[in-house]
Formats: sequence, C-alpha cells, structure tokens
Amino acid sequence: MKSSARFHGHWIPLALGLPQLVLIALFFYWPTLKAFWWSLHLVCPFGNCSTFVGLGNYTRELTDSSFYAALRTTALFAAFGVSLSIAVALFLAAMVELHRRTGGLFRYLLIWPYAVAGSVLGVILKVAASPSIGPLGYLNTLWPGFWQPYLNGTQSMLMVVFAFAWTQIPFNFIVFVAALRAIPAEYLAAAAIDGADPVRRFIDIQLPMLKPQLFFVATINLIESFTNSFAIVDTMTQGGPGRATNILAYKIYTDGFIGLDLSGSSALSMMLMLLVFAACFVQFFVFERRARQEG
Amino acid sequence: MSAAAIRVQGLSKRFGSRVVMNDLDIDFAAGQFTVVLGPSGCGKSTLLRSIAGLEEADRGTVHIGGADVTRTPPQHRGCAMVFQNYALYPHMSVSDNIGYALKLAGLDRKERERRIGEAAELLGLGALLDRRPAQLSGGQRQRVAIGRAIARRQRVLLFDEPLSNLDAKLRQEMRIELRRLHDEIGATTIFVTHDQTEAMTLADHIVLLNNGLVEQAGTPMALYHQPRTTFVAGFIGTPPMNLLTARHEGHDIVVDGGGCFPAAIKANSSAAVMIGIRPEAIDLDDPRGMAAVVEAAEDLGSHRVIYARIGQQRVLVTYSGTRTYVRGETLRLSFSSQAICCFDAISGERIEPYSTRPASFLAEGCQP
Ligand SMILES: Nc1ncnc2c1ncn2[C@@H]1O[C@H](COP(=O)(O)OP(=O)(O)OP(=O)(O)O)[C@@H](O)[C@H]1O
Ligand SMILES: [Mg+2]
Repeated sequence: MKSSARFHGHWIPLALGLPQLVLIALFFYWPTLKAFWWSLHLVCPFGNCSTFVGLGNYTRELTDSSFYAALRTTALFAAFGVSLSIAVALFLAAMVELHRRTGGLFRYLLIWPYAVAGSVLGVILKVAASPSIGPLGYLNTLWPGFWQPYLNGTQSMLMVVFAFAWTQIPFNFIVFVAALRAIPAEYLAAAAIDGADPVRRFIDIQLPMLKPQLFFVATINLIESFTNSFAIVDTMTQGGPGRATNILAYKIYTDGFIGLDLSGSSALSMMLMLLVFAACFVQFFVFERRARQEG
Repeated sequence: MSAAAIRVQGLSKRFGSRVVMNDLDIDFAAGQFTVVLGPSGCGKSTLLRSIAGLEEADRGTVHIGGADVTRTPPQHRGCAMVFQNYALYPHMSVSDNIGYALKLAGLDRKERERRIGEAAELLGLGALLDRRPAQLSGGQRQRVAIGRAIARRQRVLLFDEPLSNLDAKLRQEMRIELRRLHDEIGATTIFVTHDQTEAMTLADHIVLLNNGLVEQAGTPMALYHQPRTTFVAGFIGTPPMNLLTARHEGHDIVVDGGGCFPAAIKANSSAAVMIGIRPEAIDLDDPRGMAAVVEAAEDLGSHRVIYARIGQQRVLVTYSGTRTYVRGETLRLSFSSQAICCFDAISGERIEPYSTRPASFLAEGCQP
C-alpha cells in the first residue's frame, strides 16, 4: 500500500502518534517488561524484594503437573471454542447469503450481539445456564440432577465453551458475510449450471474462496481463547469445579493474585504470550502468504 | 440424449424502469443451431440467463423439452452454458474446471479424464490442463469455458458470446469447430452474439433482438434478403445494406439526390419511403445510372469498399474488379429493381412488392 500523505522530517508523525504510543507503552510494553523481569527473579509476595534466579521460574513451571493440566484445559477450550465459533458463524452467514433478499434484516439482527458488553453477556449467560432458575434448569425438572454445570466438569467446560463462542460469533459472522458477499455471483451461477445444489456450491465454491478469512478468524479466535477467555471463566466458574475449567489465563491470575506467586505467574504469562506470538506468526507468515500465492 | 426444443412465451423482464425483455415469444427448435443476434445491451444475455434459470423473469414461461421449467432451479434444467465473462472457478485447475460438472454428474474418474482429454484436444488446451485460470490469457480462458460446457454433452447448449476474445484466425477455426461439434452432439444450441458474421455462418436460424423485442426471426438468408425492417437491413451484412431516403411519386420511386425507377410497391400513405440495396448489388458504371461522387475507397485485397455520395446520402458499394477509384470521381450507379427492398420511412417496416418485374434498371430522369 502507498501512503496517501507524506510528512517531511520525523517530528510531526511522531507527535501525532505520541498519545497512542504513550498509552501502549504504559499499559502494554511496561507491564510486559516488568513481567519479563519478574519471571527471571524470585519476587516476594508483594513485589518489594527480589533475587535473580535466571530461568528457574520457567523450569519450575515446566516440571509442574498443574501447568500441563492447565495447558490441556486451554487446548481443549480453544479447540472446541474456536471450532464452535467458526462453525456457527459460518452456518449463519451461509444461510443469510443463501436468501439474499430476506437475508438483509437477519444480517443486522445477527450482528447486534456484537454490540453487547462482555460483562452484560456474562451475567445473561450465567442466568441462562443456571441449574435452578435458567432455561437450562428446566432440564432438571425433566431429569432431576441432569444439568449441574457447577458440579460436573464436562458440563462446566461445555458452558464456558458455549459462552466463549457466543462472544466470538458476531465478529466471525461479520467477516464471513462480508467475504461471501465479495464472491462474484457468476461463480455460483456457473456451479449451478454445472449441476451443483446450494450445499455443494457452498462446499466446492464458497468455502474454498473463504480460506483466507477462515484462517484469519481462526487466529483471532485462538488468541481470544488464550487471553480474553479469562473474563468468562472468572464470572462463570472461577476455574472449577475442581480444575475442570482452569485455563492458563485463569491459572496466571489465581497463582499470581491468590497464590501470591508473582514470579511463577509472570513466567506463565511469558509462555502464554509466546503462544499468542506463535499463532500470529503462523497466520501472517504461513496462511497469508499461501492465500496470496493462490489468489 | 435427445435434443430438446425450447419455448419461451411472454417473457418479460425489467430492471427498474428499463424494459429488457418485452413479452418475448421465441421457439428454439430441437437440435437446431439458433443464433440470438442484437446490438449491445438489447437483452441477449438476459434472455439466455432466463432460459438457464439464472435470471427470474417478471412474467412469462420457459419450456425445455416440453416441460415447464419456469420455476426449476438451474441445476435441474439440463443446460450447459458458456458465460460472457467465462466465470471459471479461480481456485480450480483447468482440468478441474472442465471436470467439475462431470464429477457432479457422477461419472467415474476414467470417463471424466477421457472427456476432459477430448475437450482439451478439440480446443487446444492440452498443455494448460494444470494451470489456474489466473495463469491463462483471455482467449485461453474462453476456450476453457467452451470446453467446460461441451464436455458435459447436455441436451441444451447456451453460448454467450463465446468467441469475442479470440483473434480472427482462431475465431474462424472455432466457428467451424463449434458448428461441427453441434452437428455431432445434436444438442439444441443457442448462441448469443452481436457479430453478424458469426450469426450468418453458424446459424440454422437467427433471432434478431432489438430493445427487448424480436425484430425478425428466420434463416440467415431470409434475414439477409428479406429484412423485415430497416433495423434488420442495417444490422445484417458487412458492410450493411444501404438505406436511401426516397419518395413514391406516381408509378416511380424517386431517390433523394437523384435517380428514379419504376415502383413495384403500392403507394403508402406518407409517400416517404426508404430503399435498401446491398453494396454488392450495385453496378458502378452503367451509363444510364445515377451520378454519385466517390468520397473514399478501402482496398481489402479481395474487393474494395467504395464510399460514395448521392446528393447528401452516403452509399457504400463493394467492387471486386481491379480498377481503382479515386476521391472526387463520378460513378454511375444502377441496380436491378429485384435487388431493392422498400421500407416505410416512418415505421421502418418493409413494404412487400406487388410484382417482381424483370430487371428494370434505374435511370436518371425517368419522370414523365
Ligand atoms: N442486474 C441488472 N441490473 C440492472 N440492469 C441490468 C442488469 N442486468 C442487465 N441490465 C441491463 O439490461 C440490459 C440488457 O442487458 P444484457 O446483459 O442482456 O445485454 P446484452 O444484449 O447481453 O448486451 P452485450 O452484447 O453487451 O452483452 C442492459 O441495458 C443492462 O444495462
Ligand atoms: Mg451479453
């Protein structure tokens, strides 16, 4: 891309970018550096004294079985959460696109949830999933003791996965609808002439052409499942029952602020950040490049 | 597979306030090669897409092989089609593009490969089978699109200007190939074009559209020799028929700017007529002919096209002799009255002659 405006010298662009840079530095780079520094030290519970231990905190975490348990839970959560978010959004987008004429209204209705704040959503979902008062609680009047998301680990995982998907679907939906709209109608016309019904057209024509958006959305969802999933777990299950929903992001919080192991949780944050970087790297340097070569 | 007749009845379509098809009734005979001809924007593609099921008409019905398919989705109509803009699947190789319909039709791999190979050989695509459409030239894409349509052996073949992007030599070869292929497959073929040479050479039957209406339908020779309107006369033929304004006076027709000849038509109310004469039917130096001044001459090797002027009216004459004509020279034009078509100057419709008197030549000053 070519920049549309040119500035001479460095001062004007720097001055214009400064407010943003200051904010990022204050709330991202500085805490990150601090966490990195802490992860190399043994820090007292309130952070007022420290001894350098090199990679000691990392080896401690990497030999701890609870780390691997959290990693497994994270992987499970991410796999199901991301797949569900993509599958549902894709289905809704395909349906809206299939009925272009009436689809317009539903397109707006389905984008709306995107505007609902996360905490509001958490409360709504908490009530919805409540075993006593929510609509799912009705299952318990049919089969007493069937729906117990706060006792049954599988059900609580299901609940947070569903909640996570709920937060991701509107964004995915917007991306997919836009991408489907951009596919020229002639390709679908040609496929129809070739004898393909709407389902085949979706599988053979639309889906392959959505590949770049699929990779993009998958990466975004994956990163969200590593990081922003914290709020969902915190409001709904607090990592329980037992450790059934204790994903890495939540473990970092509990280890650090409840267990007061700042060094260990800093080392965990660094490792989580590495995972996020890896996901970004794969998206930008593998998928994007391949998509560009194919396109 | 037996060919299927296509019948379009009362088909109408408007986009906003623009009427693109106006109550069209057309029969496409089974197994026939019909060319739909017309100027750009007259609704040819819209008609073709309505037959294929890609465009929903506002009114009217489409029958294929006797069955009403007006509400049938395109995948169940049994048509193969070449799109004006090719519409090749960008994520598939050339052979997958051609083979996709065959796969959907449930053909096994061997049969598919055989058909793809056949189409590729016919269209000279052998070396391109593994390429993606983006790696092909316009003409190559067009050939792939043709291959995709013919490999399926459908009972109805729809072509939307399939030769527009080929060079002259290839276009001529493809014309002959398509015609041969049609005779071999025996499908009902509808071929849309605005190139009247293609129409004349390919068609069993031509449907000439103008402004969403059928201007004339018939064999190429009928359209050539008996154009129903001045529009048809001006559209068919390279160069097209000369149209000269004239008046009907007594028993004669007097051409504006000079010359007259005995009328073979009934007097019409307005007395204003247009006479149409093919450029090749005009004799250049008949001593009794009417005077015309040469404006320009194009030498095409096999023949010359001479642009001349009778009074204010432009006349084109084709001439295959060797003599050269230069600007400013005076010609003496004459033609057989049988070669003339008369049109009503206002409605543009042809006036049938009541007699075909033997060759009475145009002569200057035949007024009583
Ligand atoms: N989707 C559409 N919306 C609005 N107008 C349309 C649409 N499709 C076609 N038209 C109009 O309908 C008219 C006929 O279009 P059509 O494509 O059938 O023309 P055509 O005869 O195939 O022309 P060409 O020889 O240039 O391909 C044109 O004036 C075009 O602008
Ligand atoms: Mg067209």
